[in-house]
Amino acid sequence: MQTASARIADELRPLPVATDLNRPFWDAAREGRLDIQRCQRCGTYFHPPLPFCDICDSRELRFETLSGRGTVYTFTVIRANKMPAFDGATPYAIVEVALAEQPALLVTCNMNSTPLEDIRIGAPVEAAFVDIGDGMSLLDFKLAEGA
Amino acid sequence: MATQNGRFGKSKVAVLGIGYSRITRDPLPEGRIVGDECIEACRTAIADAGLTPADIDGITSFVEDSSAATDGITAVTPAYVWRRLGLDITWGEVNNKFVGGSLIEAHNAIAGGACKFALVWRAVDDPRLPGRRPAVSSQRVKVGGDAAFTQPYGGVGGMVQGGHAQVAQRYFHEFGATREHMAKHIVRNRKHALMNEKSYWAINKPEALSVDDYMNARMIADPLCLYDCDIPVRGCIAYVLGPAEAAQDLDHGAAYIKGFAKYWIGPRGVGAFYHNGGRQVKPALEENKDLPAVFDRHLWGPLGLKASDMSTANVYDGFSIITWLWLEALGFCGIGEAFEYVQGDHNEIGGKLPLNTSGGQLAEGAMAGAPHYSESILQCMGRAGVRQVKDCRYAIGATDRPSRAQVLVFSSQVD
Repeated sequence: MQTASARIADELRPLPVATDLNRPFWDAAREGRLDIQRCQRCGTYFHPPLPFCDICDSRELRFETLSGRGTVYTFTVIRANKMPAFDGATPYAIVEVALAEQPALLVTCNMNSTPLEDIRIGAPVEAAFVDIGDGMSLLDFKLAEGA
Repeated sequence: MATQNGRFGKSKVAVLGIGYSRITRDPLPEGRIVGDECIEACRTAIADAGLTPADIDGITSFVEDSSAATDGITAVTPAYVWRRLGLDITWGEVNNKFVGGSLIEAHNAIAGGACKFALVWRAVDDPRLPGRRPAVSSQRVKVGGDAAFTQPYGGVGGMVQGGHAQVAQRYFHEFGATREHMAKHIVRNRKHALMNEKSYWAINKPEALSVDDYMNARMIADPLCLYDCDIPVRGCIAYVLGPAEAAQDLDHGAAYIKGFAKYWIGPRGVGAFYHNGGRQVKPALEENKDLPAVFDRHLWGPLGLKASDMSTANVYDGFSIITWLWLEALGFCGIGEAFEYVQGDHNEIGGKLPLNTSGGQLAEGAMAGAPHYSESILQCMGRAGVRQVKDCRYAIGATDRPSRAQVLVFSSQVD
């Protein structure tokens, strides 16, 4: 599902540049999927992507679609940011989500549709995506249904 | 007190002299550049060691940007100091990370016979200072590499991009710490800075900080506020190191280098502070739980000392939370206990472990760890004035993040 951020000027947000290494992540994000790189030998997930497995040195790494579920590992609330995309959006949260598939597999995101007071460490969340233009989409988690 | 020597044995090298420029946030006088401040501090340190520039045959510094266009203006390289002081050096090096690394390399160069008297400095013209901040682009910017996975979410400044606010939030949650706990620590730290005539606050703005001031301060990134950030400055601190026996010729005390631990080996090194670029490292707080055993093995054991042997500690505070992680990593208190540990009077001057007696980076000034080493050195030399820790035998200076240790233990005596 693609949504717009509540207050962040999405069309001005820093634009990720896809590379051969990470393009599958961005392609999946555009289609509303959370694809994360995984070592096909030892099974370890990596984010951001790596050219080789940092555990077993295998070069055989592929992107797999994850559940998009996780919990809030930690977060912070930004009170001032002069960048035009964010200047009118403060206060907003930057959240580290621990994905369900592996301990401490952290992804950085916002939770722009969630009131700040509802963002708590340990809260179950699920992945959503926001279209920021120029063919790119970013993660924007929300509280899990029924949580 | 432990007296048996570990692997480090008897000190071979001592800090013989130290020199400061004025530490300020103000623009320098017309026509004066940071290179001038650095040369002044270096000359002071050399004279303090009872030497002249002709005696200096080794130099090193930590320099982020060593391009010819900026040398002397925003950074001061060994090449600059070598030329300005007209040195004849046999050993020189640009160090990759923080002043602790420079001091350790200088120790090793002297101990290994590569040079006899080494000059080390940290000169800074902080890019966060007013007038030095780059203009904010009104256009969309593009980000590549690992930053593509963080910057579009609006992280701003080292506090967030380095993960410090996020680590603090997790620490508060996991151990039950609050901003009130931090307030006690920050208020004491300012008190120490006001006792330090060379600190930013003493020189430029001699105002005490109250708990209320802290609690009402502008939040930057929850749970950290303005006073949890180090204070950007311009200025220089310089050191002269030499063979331990040269200390006999001084008209003041020396700070003998007892031992050290350093394992900064780049961003893919032994654990980054935060989930570094997705590398399979633990989050900082998890990693910190492993570090007391690491420091037992690689610092306290080789030193033949224990944390409880330290007379004082000056541990890094580029952001306040880092100090708590250091206190736990080094074993001054247990994991998850630092927020309570810093409430006690034992961290006051006169207590069992006076902590960050110069005000550190938070209040003396942000100089890549230089305040932590220089204060440890002054305490061991017995030259810390009204801040002097009584019978200071060992002082530990520890900077950067605990997972990228740059730790030196100084001694007031050769042992």
